Amino acid sequence: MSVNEVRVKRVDDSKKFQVKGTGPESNRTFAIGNEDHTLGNALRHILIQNSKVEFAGYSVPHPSEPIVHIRVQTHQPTTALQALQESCETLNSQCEYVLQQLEEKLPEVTADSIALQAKLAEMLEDDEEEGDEEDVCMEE
Amino acid sequence: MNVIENKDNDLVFELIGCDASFANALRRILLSEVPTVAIENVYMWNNTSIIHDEVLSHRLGLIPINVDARLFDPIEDGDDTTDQNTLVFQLQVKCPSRRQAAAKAKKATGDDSALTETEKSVLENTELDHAAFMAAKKEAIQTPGRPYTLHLYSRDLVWVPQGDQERRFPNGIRPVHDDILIAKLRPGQEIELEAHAMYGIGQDHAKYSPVATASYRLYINVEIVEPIYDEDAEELAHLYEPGVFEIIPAGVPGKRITVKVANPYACTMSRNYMRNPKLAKAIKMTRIPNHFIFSVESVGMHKPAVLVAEALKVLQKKCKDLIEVTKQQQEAF
Repeated sequence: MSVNEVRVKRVDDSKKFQVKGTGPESNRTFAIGNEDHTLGNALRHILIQNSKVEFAGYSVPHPSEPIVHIRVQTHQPTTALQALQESCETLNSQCEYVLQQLEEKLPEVTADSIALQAKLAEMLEDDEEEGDEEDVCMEE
Repeated sequence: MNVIENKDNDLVFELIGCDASFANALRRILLSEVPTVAIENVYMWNNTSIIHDEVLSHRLGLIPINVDARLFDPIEDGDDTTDQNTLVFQLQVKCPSRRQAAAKAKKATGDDSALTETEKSVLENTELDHAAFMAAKKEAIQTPGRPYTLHLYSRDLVWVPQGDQERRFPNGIRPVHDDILIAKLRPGQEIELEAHAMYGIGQDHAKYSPVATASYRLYINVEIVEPIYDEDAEELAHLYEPGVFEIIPAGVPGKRITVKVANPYACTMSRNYMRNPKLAKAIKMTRIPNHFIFSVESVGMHKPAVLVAEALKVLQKKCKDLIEVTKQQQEAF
């Protein structure tokens, strides 16, 4: 008996990233699959703080479809795609900064990641050993 | 970023100078996108208890399991279950019948003179129930008036290592809490089942959420615009916002005491103080829009700080994936 009968919908590969809109490359709508308000709102906020961006907005066209639309209009010569990429990089570095602060202030974060790496390495080693054993068997 | 409070499962920290959207993304990811492992499939072999199969499996699903989900592979629809993505638990309990229990009680105390020959032979052949009986006996002390009810707790789930799991998890795998009541059994009732726990995220089902709560509020700046003395000071410090203000000697001739802001974190932005017209004029409370007080309460498999770090990594992964596809798109043109 399955505890959870309904699983979250996932989009096919073709819908993971779509560019919508025509005309100059400064105006585009990006449809990003498997994302929601989490990324949409965060990116929109970063986009509107960029002086090269004329307009930025986001919407989730249908609540039961895991697709978020991000509309970007930029001042020439920046293209909408470039602006989007830039905003992703900004958000990424923002995360990096907070993560770094977190590691500084809370030692358990670093301790945990070291322990995890050790565990993963150990698992990898085990796998390799197993592989060796198999090879030996093959030779015999 | 500052840490305000860090206990076992609770973390309170400040995020200063960031957007609401960032704080909200972090909160949403903590709630629904940091993976954990929870029971997903339950194979019911026998259930004669009064709890229905569906309810029982739902209850099992909600038990937090103390294991690091990062060591597991996610499982997609149609994937086979392997030792890399599934944990197996077994639950086999039976509440002994009254007669058996009584006979065993006598046996346990060494006094089986009252038993008939048949009863003795029955007992000897049903040694398996001994542990269950001992548990029932223990329960009987804890639940007076219900001497024969067997309580089934999360600690009764037995982990069955598959493949190389025994080597990977030398300390065994247990639920986070041992004393979660799963079901109660009356004499003669039994539950036998196998439960498969899998990797998942909170978006799929709330049972996968690694946090009990993750929330943020805005920091409140408390200002004393006009000096407050004596009765008003006492009223403010003790009645309206306890813990926020501290009474200090006034230092002004003719006045006894005044207040200063001691701990703005305790402020709830209650407007009660405005009932006193003098205080209403003297105090100013404002929210700071880019100063967040974030509180994270872990369910127990990870430290809350680790969860926040994981959430940030999830957000980073989203960004990196998107950068990747935008680059592909650029190359296509």
